[in-house]
Amino acid sequence: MRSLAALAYWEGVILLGGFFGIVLWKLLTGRISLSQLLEGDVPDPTNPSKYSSAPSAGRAQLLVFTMFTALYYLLQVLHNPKAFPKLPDVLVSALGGSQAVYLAGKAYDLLSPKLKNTL
Amino acid sequence: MDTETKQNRQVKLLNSATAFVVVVGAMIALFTKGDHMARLKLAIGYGLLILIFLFGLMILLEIASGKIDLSLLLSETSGGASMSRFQLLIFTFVISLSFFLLVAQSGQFPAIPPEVLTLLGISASTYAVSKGIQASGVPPKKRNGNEKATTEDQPQ
Repeated sequence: MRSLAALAYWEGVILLGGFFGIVLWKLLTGRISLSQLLEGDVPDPTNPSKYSSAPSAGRAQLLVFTMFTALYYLLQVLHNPKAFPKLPDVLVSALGGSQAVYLAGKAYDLLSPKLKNTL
Repeated sequence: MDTETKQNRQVKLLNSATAFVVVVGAMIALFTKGDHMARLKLAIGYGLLILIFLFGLMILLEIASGKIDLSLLLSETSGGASMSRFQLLIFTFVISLSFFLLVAQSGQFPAIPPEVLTLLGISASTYAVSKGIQASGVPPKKRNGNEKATTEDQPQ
Protein backbone atom coordinates (compact mmCIF):
# COMPACT_ATOMS: atom_id res chain seq x y z
CA MET A 1 0.00 0.00 0.00
CA ARG A 2 2.92 2.31 0.72
CA SER A 3 4.26 1.90 -2.81
CA LEU A 4 0.75 2.62 -4.16
CA ALA A 5 0.70 5.92 -2.22
CA ALA A 6 4.20 6.78 -3.47
CA LEU A 7 3.15 6.05 -7.05
CA ALA A 8 0.04 8.24 -6.65
CA TYR A 9 2.23 11.04 -5.25
CA TRP A 10 4.65 10.97 -8.17
CA GLU A 11 1.81 10.69 -10.65
CA GLY A 12 0.28 13.85 -9.15
CA VAL A 13 3.65 15.62 -9.24
CA ILE A 14 4.20 14.75 -12.91
CA LEU A 15 0.66 15.55 -14.14
CA LEU A 16 0.08 18.70 -12.05
CA GLY A 17 3.65 19.94 -12.51
CA GLY A 18 3.48 19.21 -16.21
CA PHE A 19 0.21 21.08 -16.64
CA PHE A 20 1.36 24.11 -14.61
CA GLY A 21 4.71 24.06 -16.40
CA ILE A 22 3.16 23.98 -19.87
CA VAL A 23 0.70 26.79 -19.09
CA LEU A 24 3.49 28.90 -17.52
CA TRP A 25 5.79 28.23 -20.48
CA LYS A 26 3.04 29.23 -22.93
CA LEU A 27 2.38 32.40 -20.90
CA LEU A 28 6.08 33.33 -20.87
CA THR A 29 6.60 32.67 -24.57
CA GLY A 30 3.45 34.59 -25.53
CA ARG A 31 1.58 31.58 -26.94
CA ILE A 32 -1.14 32.40 -24.42
CA SER A 33 -1.47 36.11 -24.98
CA LEU A 34 -1.53 38.55 -22.07
CA SER A 35 -1.66 41.64 -24.25
CA GLN A 36 -4.21 44.27 -23.17
CA LEU A 37 -4.58 42.56 -19.79
CA LEU A 38 -4.66 45.95 -18.09
CA GLU A 39 -6.70 47.68 -20.81
CA GLY A 40 -10.47 47.94 -20.75
CA ASP A 41 -12.95 48.75 -23.50
CA VAL A 42 -14.24 52.31 -23.26
CA PRO A 43 -16.90 54.04 -25.38
CA ASP A 44 -15.36 55.91 -28.33
CA PRO A 45 -17.82 57.51 -30.79
CA THR A 46 -14.99 58.21 -33.27
CA ASN A 47 -14.22 54.52 -33.65
CA PRO A 48 -16.48 52.57 -36.04
CA SER A 49 -16.75 49.81 -33.46
CA LYS A 50 -17.90 52.45 -30.86
CA TYR A 51 -15.24 51.17 -28.43
CA SER A 52 -11.49 51.49 -28.04
CA SER A 53 -8.93 50.23 -25.53
CA ALA A 54 -7.66 52.35 -22.68
CA PRO A 55 -5.63 51.62 -19.51
CA SER A 56 -8.00 50.52 -16.76
CA ALA A 57 -7.45 51.31 -13.08
CA GLY A 58 -10.06 48.69 -12.17
CA ARG A 59 -8.05 45.94 -13.83
CA ALA A 60 -4.76 47.15 -12.30
CA GLN A 61 -6.15 47.11 -8.74
CA LEU A 62 -7.72 43.68 -9.32
CA LEU A 63 -4.36 42.35 -10.51
CA VAL A 64 -2.64 43.68 -7.37
CA PHE A 65 -5.28 42.23 -4.99
CA THR A 66 -5.31 38.89 -6.84
CA MET A 67 -1.54 38.47 -6.77
CA PHE A 68 -1.34 39.55 -3.12
CA THR A 69 -4.10 37.16 -1.98
CA ALA A 70 -2.76 34.24 -4.04
CA LEU A 71 0.81 34.72 -2.77
CA TYR A 72 -0.38 35.14 0.83
CA TYR A 73 -2.40 31.93 0.58
CA LEU A 74 0.41 29.94 -1.04
CA LEU A 75 2.94 31.10 1.56
CA GLN A 76 0.57 30.12 4.38
CA VAL A 77 0.17 26.62 2.90
CA LEU A 78 3.93 26.21 2.38
CA HIS A 79 4.54 27.44 5.95
CA ASN A 80 2.12 24.92 7.47
CA PRO A 81 1.20 22.17 4.99
CA LYS A 82 -1.09 20.25 7.37
CA ALA A 83 -4.41 22.02 6.89
CA PHE A 84 -5.94 24.68 4.68
CA PRO A 85 -4.98 28.05 6.20
CA LYS A 86 -7.53 30.44 7.66
CA LEU A 87 -7.85 33.61 5.62
CA PRO A 88 -8.52 36.86 7.52
CA ASP A 89 -12.06 38.18 6.91
CA VAL A 90 -10.55 41.54 5.98
CA LEU A 91 -8.58 39.98 3.14
CA VAL A 92 -11.60 38.11 1.76
CA SER A 93 -13.70 41.30 1.98
CA ALA A 94 -10.98 43.33 0.28
CA LEU A 95 -10.76 40.80 -2.54
CA GLY A 96 -14.54 40.76 -2.93
CA GLY A 97 -14.60 44.58 -2.99
CA SER A 98 -11.83 44.66 -5.57
CA GLN A 99 -13.70 42.25 -7.83
CA ALA A 100 -16.90 44.28 -7.38
CA VAL A 101 -15.09 47.49 -8.40
CA TYR A 102 -13.70 45.77 -11.50
CA LEU A 103 -17.13 44.44 -12.49
CA ALA A 104 -18.88 47.74 -11.84
CA GLY A 105 -16.32 49.59 -13.98
CA LYS A 106 -16.65 47.09 -16.77
CA ALA A 107 -20.45 47.17 -16.67
CA TYR A 108 -20.41 50.98 -16.72
CA ASP A 109 -18.04 51.15 -19.69
CA LEU A 110 -19.74 48.49 -21.78
CA LEU A 111 -23.39 48.93 -20.91
CA SER A 112 -23.82 52.68 -20.28
CA PRO A 113 -23.88 53.66 -24.02
CA LYS A 114 -26.61 51.08 -24.65
CA LEU A 115 -28.60 52.28 -21.64
CA LYS A 116 -28.27 55.91 -22.77
CA ASN A 117 -29.53 54.98 -26.24
CA THR A 118 -32.43 53.06 -24.76
CA LEU A 119 -33.42 55.93 -22.46
CA MET B 1 -2.80 12.10 -41.96
CA ASP B 2 -6.49 11.53 -42.84
CA THR B 3 -9.22 11.25 -40.23
CA GLU B 4 -9.67 7.47 -40.53
CA THR B 5 -5.96 6.75 -40.02
CA LYS B 6 -5.93 9.11 -37.06
CA GLN B 7 -8.95 7.40 -35.49
CA ASN B 8 -7.37 3.97 -36.06
CA ARG B 9 -4.18 5.16 -34.35
CA GLN B 10 -6.15 6.48 -31.38
CA VAL B 11 -8.11 3.22 -31.07
CA LYS B 12 -4.84 1.24 -31.17
CA LEU B 13 -3.33 3.49 -28.49
CA LEU B 14 -6.40 3.09 -26.28
CA ASN B 15 -6.39 -0.70 -26.74
CA SER B 16 -2.66 -0.85 -25.91
CA ALA B 17 -3.17 1.24 -22.76
CA THR B 18 -6.09 -0.92 -21.62
CA ALA B 19 -4.15 -4.14 -22.31
CA PHE B 20 -1.16 -2.80 -20.36
CA VAL B 21 -3.39 -1.92 -17.38
CA VAL B 22 -5.06 -5.35 -17.43
CA VAL B 23 -1.66 -7.12 -17.58
CA VAL B 24 -0.23 -5.07 -14.69
CA GLY B 25 -3.39 -5.64 -12.62
CA ALA B 26 -3.31 -9.39 -13.29
CA MET B 27 0.39 -9.64 -12.39
CA ILE B 28 -0.17 -7.82 -9.12
CA ALA B 29 -3.20 -9.97 -8.30
CA LEU B 30 -1.28 -13.17 -9.04
CA PHE B 31 2.17 -12.50 -7.60
CA THR B 32 1.67 -10.38 -4.47
CA LYS B 33 1.27 -11.78 -0.98
CA GLY B 34 -1.77 -11.39 1.28
CA ASP B 35 -5.42 -12.41 1.24
CA HIS B 36 -7.65 -12.21 -1.84
CA MET B 37 -9.28 -8.88 -0.92
CA ALA B 38 -5.94 -7.14 -0.29
CA ARG B 39 -4.57 -8.39 -3.61
CA LEU B 40 -7.72 -7.30 -5.44
CA LYS B 41 -7.51 -3.83 -3.86
CA LEU B 42 -3.86 -3.52 -4.90
CA ALA B 43 -4.55 -4.69 -8.46
CA ILE B 44 -7.47 -2.26 -8.90
CA GLY B 45 -5.48 0.58 -7.27
CA TYR B 46 -2.47 0.13 -9.54
CA GLY B 47 -4.66 -0.38 -12.60
CA LEU B 48 -6.61 2.83 -12.00
CA LEU B 49 -3.45 4.80 -11.22
CA ILE B 50 -1.79 3.70 -14.45
CA LEU B 51 -4.94 4.34 -16.49
CA ILE B 52 -5.39 7.86 -15.06
CA PHE B 53 -1.70 8.57 -15.62
CA LEU B 54 -1.89 7.49 -19.26
CA PHE B 55 -5.01 9.60 -19.88
CA GLY B 56 -3.39 12.62 -18.18
CA LEU B 57 -0.16 12.13 -20.11
CA MET B 58 -2.02 11.96 -23.43
CA ILE B 59 -3.78 15.26 -22.65
CA LEU B 60 -0.50 16.87 -21.53
CA LEU B 61 1.26 15.77 -24.74
CA GLU B 62 -1.61 17.06 -26.88
CA ILE B 63 -1.46 20.44 -25.06
CA ALA B 64 2.34 20.61 -25.40
CA SER B 65 2.24 19.78 -29.11
CA GLY B 66 -0.52 22.35 -29.73
CA LYS B 67 -3.19 19.85 -30.82
CA ILE B 68 -5.23 21.05 -27.84
CA ASP B 69 -5.05 24.78 -28.42
CA LEU B 70 -4.75 26.97 -25.29
CA SER B 71 -3.80 30.16 -27.12
CA LEU B 72 -7.20 31.77 -26.42
CA LEU B 73 -7.36 30.57 -22.80
CA LEU B 74 -7.23 34.12 -21.44
CA SER B 75 -8.78 35.99 -24.36
CA GLU B 76 -11.97 38.00 -24.38
CA THR B 77 -14.31 38.22 -27.36
CA SER B 78 -12.98 41.73 -27.98
CA GLY B 79 -9.50 40.31 -28.60
CA GLY B 80 -7.45 41.34 -25.54
CA ALA B 81 -6.62 39.29 -22.47
CA SER B 82 -9.35 38.95 -19.86
CA MET B 83 -8.58 39.92 -16.26
CA SER B 84 -11.46 37.80 -14.94
CA ARG B 85 -10.12 34.71 -16.68
CA PHE B 86 -6.59 35.46 -15.48
CA GLN B 87 -7.60 35.76 -11.82
CA LEU B 88 -9.68 32.56 -12.04
CA LEU B 89 -6.65 30.74 -13.48
CA ILE B 90 -4.40 32.04 -10.68
CA PHE B 91 -6.81 31.02 -7.90
CA THR B 92 -7.46 27.61 -9.48
CA PHE B 93 -3.72 26.97 -9.63
CA VAL B 94 -3.15 28.12 -6.05
CA ILE B 95 -6.01 26.10 -4.54
CA SER B 96 -5.23 22.94 -6.53
CA LEU B 97 -1.53 23.14 -5.64
CA SER B 98 -2.42 23.66 -1.96
CA PHE B 99 -4.85 20.75 -2.07
CA PHE B 100 -2.23 18.46 -3.58
CA LEU B 101 0.39 19.50 -0.99
CA LEU B 102 -2.03 18.88 1.88
CA VAL B 103 -3.09 15.46 0.58
CA ALA B 104 0.55 14.47 -0.01
CA GLN B 105 1.53 15.58 3.51
CA SER B 106 -1.35 14.11 5.49
CA GLY B 107 -2.20 11.13 3.30
CA GLN B 108 -5.92 11.75 3.68
CA PHE B 109 -8.65 13.96 2.27
CA PRO B 110 -8.36 17.33 4.06
CA ALA B 111 -11.31 19.24 5.51
CA ILE B 112 -12.15 22.16 3.23
CA PRO B 113 -12.84 25.34 5.24
CA PRO B 114 -15.48 27.87 4.12
CA GLU B 115 -12.73 30.41 3.30
CA VAL B 116 -11.52 28.28 0.40
CA LEU B 117 -15.02 27.91 -0.97
CA THR B 118 -15.61 31.65 -0.55
CA LEU B 119 -12.37 32.46 -2.36
CA LEU B 120 -13.16 30.18 -5.29
CA GLY B 121 -16.79 31.34 -5.26
CA ILE B 122 -15.83 35.01 -5.51
CA SER B 123 -13.35 34.27 -8.27
CA ALA B 124 -15.70 32.10 -10.34
CA SER B 125 -18.66 34.48 -9.84
CA THR B 126 -16.56 37.37 -11.10
CA TYR B 127 -15.68 35.36 -14.19
CA ALA B 128 -19.34 34.46 -14.82
CA VAL B 129 -20.63 38.02 -14.31
CA SER B 130 -17.81 39.43 -16.44
CA LYS B 131 -18.71 37.03 -19.22
CA GLY B 132 -22.35 38.13 -18.96
CA ILE B 133 -21.41 41.81 -19.19
CA GLN B 134 -19.11 41.10 -22.12
CA ALA B 135 -21.86 39.20 -23.94
CA SER B 136 -24.38 42.01 -23.34
CA GLY B 137 -22.19 44.75 -24.73
CA VAL B 138 -19.67 42.96 -26.93
CA PRO B 139 -17.53 45.33 -28.91
CA PRO B 140 -16.48 43.82 -32.25
CA LYS B 141 -13.18 41.97 -32.34
CA LYS B 142 -10.29 44.39 -32.79
CA ARG B 143 -7.34 43.35 -34.88
CA ASN B 144 -4.37 45.10 -33.31
CA GLY B 145 -4.95 47.02 -30.12
CA ASN B 146 -6.58 50.33 -31.00
CA GLU B 147 -6.70 49.70 -34.72
CA LYS B 148 -10.10 50.73 -36.00
CA ALA B 149 -12.46 47.97 -36.98
CA THR B 150 -14.00 47.90 -40.42
CA THR B 151 -17.72 47.88 -41.09
CA GLU B 152 -17.49 44.11 -41.68
CA ASP B 153 -16.69 43.70 -38.00
CA GLN B 154 -19.86 45.41 -36.83
CA PRO B 155 -22.64 43.25 -35.41
CA GLN B 156 -25.70 42.99 -37.63
